[in-house]
Amino acid sequence: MATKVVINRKALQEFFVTDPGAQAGLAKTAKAVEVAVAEAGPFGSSLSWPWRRPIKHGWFKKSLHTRPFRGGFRVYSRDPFAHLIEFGSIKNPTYAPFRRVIRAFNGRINAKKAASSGEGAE
Amino acid sequence: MRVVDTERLLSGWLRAQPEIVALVEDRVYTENPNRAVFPLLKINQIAGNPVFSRPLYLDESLIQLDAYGGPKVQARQLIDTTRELLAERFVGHHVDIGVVTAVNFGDLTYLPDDGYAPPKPRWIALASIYTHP
Repeated sequence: MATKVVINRKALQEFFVTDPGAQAGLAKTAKAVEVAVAEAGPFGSSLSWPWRRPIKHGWFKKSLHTRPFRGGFRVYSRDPFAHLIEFGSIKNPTYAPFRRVIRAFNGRINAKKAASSGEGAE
Repeated sequence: MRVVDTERLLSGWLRAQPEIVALVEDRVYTENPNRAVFPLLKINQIAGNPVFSRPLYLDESLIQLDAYGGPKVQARQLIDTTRELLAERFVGHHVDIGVVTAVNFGDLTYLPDDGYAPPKPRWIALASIYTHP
């Protein structure tokens, strides 16, 4: 006999927001995401023109922060030029550290779309 | 058996499309051009996962398409044409390369490239492309 499991997303969300254990777990995951984003950023020698020049390390890594956001956590960069690393430019390759890490954690990049189709996005 | 190099397949295929040639000639790149001539189209695979690991056959590639103007309207025309072509013609068998089974589009974003002064108009689109040999 088949059993149908229905996930109560509202109750699950409530649990994640209020339960201290769940919050601690989310904080740990957010920290892991932050570390992974730093690792996915530019490292070693530059891939942008002129090729192979050394990169000044630490700027992007230092700009990464985590803070509580809508019951979960948000990992973000304070670097005003982080979009050049994320999306690239005609002079910079597309490193896409945030999107690569989202994919590595089995997340979805187009969160609104996933939420509207009922697949879950957060 | 090997998985398909989606960047290579897509760039070569786009260069062969008359609509793209009319807009950018052969300026469809997968790496940053040394001396860029605009408008141009840049293709980058930013992530990818095989759908199944064994057999390593069906592969998903997340592709970022950067359409640079000319003016903003030209960048928009370029990204619209590219997405339309991908939606209508790209799915199917490509001789000696592989088969494209699906194309799913993600966000479309206007993000001017401020590596230039003034910033260069650029539309960015995401596409998930499923391929197998």
